[in-house]
Amino acid sequence: MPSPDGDKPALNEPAAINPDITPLDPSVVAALYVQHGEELRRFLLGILRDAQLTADVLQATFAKMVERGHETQETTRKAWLFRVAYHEAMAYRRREGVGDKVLRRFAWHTSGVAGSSDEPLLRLESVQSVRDALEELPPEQRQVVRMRIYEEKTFAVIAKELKIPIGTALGRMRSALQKLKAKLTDSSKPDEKSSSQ
Amino acid sequence: MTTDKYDLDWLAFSYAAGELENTDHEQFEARLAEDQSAREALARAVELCQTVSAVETQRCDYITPAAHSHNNWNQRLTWMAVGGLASVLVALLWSGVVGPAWQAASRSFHAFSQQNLASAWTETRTQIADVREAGYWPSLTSADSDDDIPSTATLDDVSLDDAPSWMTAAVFSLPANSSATDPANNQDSPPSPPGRGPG
Repeated sequence: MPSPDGDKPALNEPAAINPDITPLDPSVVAALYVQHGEELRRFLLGILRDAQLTADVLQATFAKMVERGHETQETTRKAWLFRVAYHEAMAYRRREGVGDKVLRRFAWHTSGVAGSSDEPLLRLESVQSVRDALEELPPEQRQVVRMRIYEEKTFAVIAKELKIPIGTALGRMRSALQKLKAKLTDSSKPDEKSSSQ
Repeated sequence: MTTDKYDLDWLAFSYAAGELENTDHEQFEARLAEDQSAREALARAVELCQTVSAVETQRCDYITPAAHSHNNWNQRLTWMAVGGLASVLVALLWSGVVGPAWQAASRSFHAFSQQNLASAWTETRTQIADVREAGYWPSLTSADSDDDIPSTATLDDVSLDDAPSWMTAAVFSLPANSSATDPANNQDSPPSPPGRGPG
């Protein structure tokens, strides 16, 4: 039976290799890679929008599986891989300043082609569409969006600072996200059309 | 778990934001392994958060320099005002419009110094005269220098001839009533006029 926190590896830190613990059989890890590697790669690509970073994070994910896979149950290994991959990706984003490239990635997403020649134009359009979408939000919704996403405050803190029930803060955020996504989807439609031609 | 698209997006956002309860958190992670739509929703949530964050950061970058320039202008105007005031003050002091009290004080201090100097000089002359009358004043005769200084010449005469201009000026500027207040001149005989020794 795995340890209680066996499925909760210490993320973003190199796993301490204990010589008393036998690492997972490399053939098992290889089989996991064959089974789930491509799914994981697509998942990571969707988050990172960068092929090289995706490869790096995928490698780091399976390296952790080699080191700590013995702590996992066979039935939960796939979920473990996705969880570790997600957290590794987020850690990479923070470490490598991937957030600065977000606009480029957004352009990549809408055009479907990384590094296309019209990337700067698409990037500006994406920035503008996001900015416009934010401007069109009601002030109280925009305030919650800003506090949650930019200032990274929890909804509990936001509710306390704004002196509103936490349900109200959650409702504002949810409404704002729906509107933003609708706007961004609309703005990406012409690009999808043009890219499909 | 059947959720519509908006619920899934909200769930994915809550997961990305770390706002899910433990049970929901684990359920969503398990779903990630099986449900492609959940992965896509999570990718969208992350993308949206990053984009909004980048736009807000950009907006702050635009706003911050403007605030800085406003502060800079305030600072510049303050320094310009201080410099201007200092220049005006210097100009007024230089022209004498401001500070007559200071100038008057300076003048009275100068006069007082001259008065004291004249009094001291007069007292010295009186003492020298007394010594000479008593016959203790040495004569300045020299065997080799008869041509330069007359044999009857005294130190006082030489001193008078060589009296510095400041001394003469001091005596001439001595007020008429200064001898009455000056203990050095409070004697039976009034002080000799300047330039004339008692001998």
